[in-house]
Amino acid sequence: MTITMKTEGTAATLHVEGWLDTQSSPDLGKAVKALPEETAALILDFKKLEYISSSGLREVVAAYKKMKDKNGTFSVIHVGNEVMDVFRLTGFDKKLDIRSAGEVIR
Amino acid sequence: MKLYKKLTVIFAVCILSFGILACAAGFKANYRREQERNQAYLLRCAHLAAKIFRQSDVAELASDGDSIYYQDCKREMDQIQKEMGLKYVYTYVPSEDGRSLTVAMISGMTEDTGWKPGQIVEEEVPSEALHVYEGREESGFRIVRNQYGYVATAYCPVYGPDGRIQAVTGADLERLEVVSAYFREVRWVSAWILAGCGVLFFLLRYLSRRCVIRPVVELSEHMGHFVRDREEGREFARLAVKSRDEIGQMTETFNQMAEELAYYIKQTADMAAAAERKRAEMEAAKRIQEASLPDGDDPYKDDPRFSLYAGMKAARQVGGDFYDHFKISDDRLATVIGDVSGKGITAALFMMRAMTLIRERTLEGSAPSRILEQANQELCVRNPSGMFVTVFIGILNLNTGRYSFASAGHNPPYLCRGNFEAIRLESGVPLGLFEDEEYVSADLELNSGDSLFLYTDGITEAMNRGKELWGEVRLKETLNLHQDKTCAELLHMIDHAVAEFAGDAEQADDITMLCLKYN
Repeated sequence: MTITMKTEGTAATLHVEGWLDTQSSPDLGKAVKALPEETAALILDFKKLEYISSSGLREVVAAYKKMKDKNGTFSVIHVGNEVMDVFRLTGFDKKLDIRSAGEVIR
Repeated sequence: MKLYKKLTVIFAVCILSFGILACAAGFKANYRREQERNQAYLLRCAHLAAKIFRQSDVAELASDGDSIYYQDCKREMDQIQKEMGLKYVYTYVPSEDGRSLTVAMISGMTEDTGWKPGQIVEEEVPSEALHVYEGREESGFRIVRNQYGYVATAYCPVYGPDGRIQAVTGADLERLEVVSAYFREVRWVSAWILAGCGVLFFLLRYLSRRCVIRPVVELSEHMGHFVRDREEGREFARLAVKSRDEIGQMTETFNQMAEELAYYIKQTADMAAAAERKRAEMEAAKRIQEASLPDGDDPYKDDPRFSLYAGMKAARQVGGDFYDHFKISDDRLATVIGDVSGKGITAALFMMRAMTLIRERTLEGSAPSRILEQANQELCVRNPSGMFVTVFIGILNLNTGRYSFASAGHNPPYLCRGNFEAIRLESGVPLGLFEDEEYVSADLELNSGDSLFLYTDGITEAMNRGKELWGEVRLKETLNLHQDKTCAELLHMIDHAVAEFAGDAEQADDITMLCLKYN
């Protein structure tokens, strides 16, 4: 799994690529932790994410909670079908701003 | 061959060749000087003897060996011969053609030569003597081995009163005496040189042993004992660095290396011990976790209204799967399955908390949605690590067949009514995340013969070596293939199929299943 970060002002985008499983999820946690303090908007771009496990979900929720505590915004974009199923199954699609591959940011 | 032996041989060869060369060079240089001295000495002798005939006519003198004058001269010559230690001293007149000579006078062992005054000896006159006689050379010198022995001879001319050369005087010295005297002298010098070489050899040997061999051997022994010493619990003792040369450097390097090695060995041992401790703790946690799950092997044999079978196969690491089943009252059965996110002790502890909370709330008689809401609220409190758990809970009324259920982000169970199909349900988010989350209950009416299959994603996300997931499609196929089997058999079949698919890939997640059949 590879994570690349792009920042634009106070908005940060993490492009997550590959598999987000038990082994690799902590890396996402670290990447979120390493975000600049002033980050007010965090976007996880899952365009190239192939798989997410429950530990991956945990990191996503942790990132969401972190942004919420800071009164920032959090979105997950470009979510593919298989990963979307996982979000739907766990009901996260209703709680978090999660958009499938077709949707665009408002 | 040992280094010490090698060095010894090298030293021996070098020093011996040096000694021999030194002796030879000394011999050669001295020999030439000796020769020159010898020659000058002989010439002086010859000149001395030649002077005897300064005032006389040699031919005339020789003609009468018994004359008083001849005798006077002979005495003088004998004296020279004796005092100078010569073999022969003689004067003769070579013939015109040089093939014979006329003896004028001779001192020394005359009986050896048989020469007599006035005698003409038929004998080739040496060229050196001829040249002197003819005035072409002022003196002559030769070394020769002939019938008169091994001799060195110096020739010089005999001038008459008229200043003309009238004869040749030769002075012979026994070569053997000269040479042996020389050798006696040289022998001692050589002996001294060789003795010096011997001393040098032993000195070098001693120094090489002391400065090279012994430190290297000491170092090597120390290196060899390093591991043994450690095993026997002895601390590593630094080797004293005695010199600042390469051996000293090597010793210092070894000291550093050994210290670093000791440090790393200790660290590795500590790490291994820590890992072992952790593994043991994990093992204990895993056992506690497994023990906290209720018996899954058809525990309600006595109740003919249903059969139930459940099992969990934990991954290597302690995980957070659980199942639960218990009767709330005689005609109400609760079935719970859950999966805590993450692994390790925290996951296991969170799972125990969740399981206990759900059981307590369920026994209070609440509806499934309410149970989840209550458990969620309690799990959200004091959850610093952001753990969450997906839960499916269903309560079956054993008399009516009504199955009332709710899900907190868990995989929908499969219902078999002719064919296995996933239940459609409206799921809330997993427990432990959002305190105010509301959950929805739904109902199913089970008919006699219907089965329910509850599972965790350890099954659908079981992976083979090619990182391929087993998936819901395979799960559904396998369920349908064995839908006529008993609960126990069905679970075994699924377990078998998953294991076959995964092959030698390590089981990444807990695998938990629960099968309920309503009769």
